[in-house]
Amino acid sequence: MKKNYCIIGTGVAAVNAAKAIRDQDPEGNIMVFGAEDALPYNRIKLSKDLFSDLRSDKVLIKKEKWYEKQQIQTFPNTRVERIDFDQHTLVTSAGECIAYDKLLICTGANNRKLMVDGIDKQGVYSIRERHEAEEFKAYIEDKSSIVNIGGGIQGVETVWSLVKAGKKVTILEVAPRLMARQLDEHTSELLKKKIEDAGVQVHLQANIQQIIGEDQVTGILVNDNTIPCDSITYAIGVIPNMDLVENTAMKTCRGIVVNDRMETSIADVYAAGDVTELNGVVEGLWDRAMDQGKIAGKNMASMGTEVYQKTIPLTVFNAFDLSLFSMGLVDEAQCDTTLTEEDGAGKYTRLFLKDNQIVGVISLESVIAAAPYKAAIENQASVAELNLNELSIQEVMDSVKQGGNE
Amino acid sequence: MDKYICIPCGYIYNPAVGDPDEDIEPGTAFEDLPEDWLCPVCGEGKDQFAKVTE
Repeated sequence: MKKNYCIIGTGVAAVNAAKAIRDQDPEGNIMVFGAEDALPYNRIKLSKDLFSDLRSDKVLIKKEKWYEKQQIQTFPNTRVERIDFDQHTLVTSAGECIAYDKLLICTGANNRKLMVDGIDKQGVYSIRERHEAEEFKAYIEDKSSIVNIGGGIQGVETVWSLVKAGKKVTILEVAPRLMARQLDEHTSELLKKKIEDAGVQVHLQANIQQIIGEDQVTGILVNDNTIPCDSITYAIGVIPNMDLVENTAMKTCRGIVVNDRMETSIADVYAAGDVTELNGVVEGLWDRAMDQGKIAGKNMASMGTEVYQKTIPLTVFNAFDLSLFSMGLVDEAQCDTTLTEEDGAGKYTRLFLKDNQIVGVISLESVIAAAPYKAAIENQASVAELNLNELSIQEVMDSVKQGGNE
Repeated sequence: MDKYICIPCGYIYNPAVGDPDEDIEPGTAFEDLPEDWLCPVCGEGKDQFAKVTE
């Protein structure tokens, strides 16, 4: 008997799960259901390359031919309306009832809605799906000044796209600094300066009070000052999209609760990607979704016990005339000590240490230089024997590397 | 053989591993990847890759 594998959602977790299932089970039916109107695409491009052709094949995770070759059936424009876990069936917006042997829920996350007076005015956008990016682009085509709310990486990338398109941009962030999850104070401050050099107004610790305008946005009230603008876009975090399993027996908290095999609390049902909560954490990261999809797919097809292991987070940033990368644990408060090196001419590297191991790094270099740090973090190399006060970061890295080769 | 890194996203192509998803056999040098090969993580082309310094 051929098995039926159903996958709900069309993000990167879905593609990787479908692929992993096919690798294990050449016979089974694999069906991927998505509410969006196209094949799975690289969502990251919606902020990074906002003004590129978002309908181009280049944006797709896999081309159409790949799905044909792998015999993976895709159902775009098809929402799954409900699931009957006891009967092992689901009902789609096309009215079909489909039986599954194994089910994967990877419905991703939605952008958190900004709670402020005037949020529903015309010209306010929060981009999660491709059609939203396209609507935003169409709206601002003949307009000039845009306010971006949110100074996380997605917001900063969007601002970079807007600046390159010749728009006048203001960035508002509630926190005292930009990209606080990936950067330390020094690099945050440098990023702010680079952004300002590009002609962007940056307001930190912004208290957003009201969106102003009749039907259409004409400005925003921030810290008791009105900033005039033609459009507003915001990216202030995500919340798992769990509508489908609300009021069911499935265990949820902030996300759908899974174990490290990506199993939910319901037999034969798995979840992966942004919709999940694992060990109390909702990740919301592209490469984690990819890895979780792979693990879920393997386990669905083989009754396997493949376990998901977190990879070291890596953020690469190339914008505003600034190249840097941030890897591993870079929260000073959780580390024992840090080593900083700078030459005053733009070079800056900071190592984060905990329990005599290198656990993270921020460096104002191209990611080309990241490999030795990645190896040191992965190998949990010990620096216990080193006199850190007397060594340069290069010397520390050399010693760690030699130690690893012995 | 050298490893190559995708500058936009940080994915490292390791010739010892290849890219099994795209039927690229282990032992395939980066230079020998098809010209239309794309980064398996972010979808950028080969021109966005640089040799890794170790």
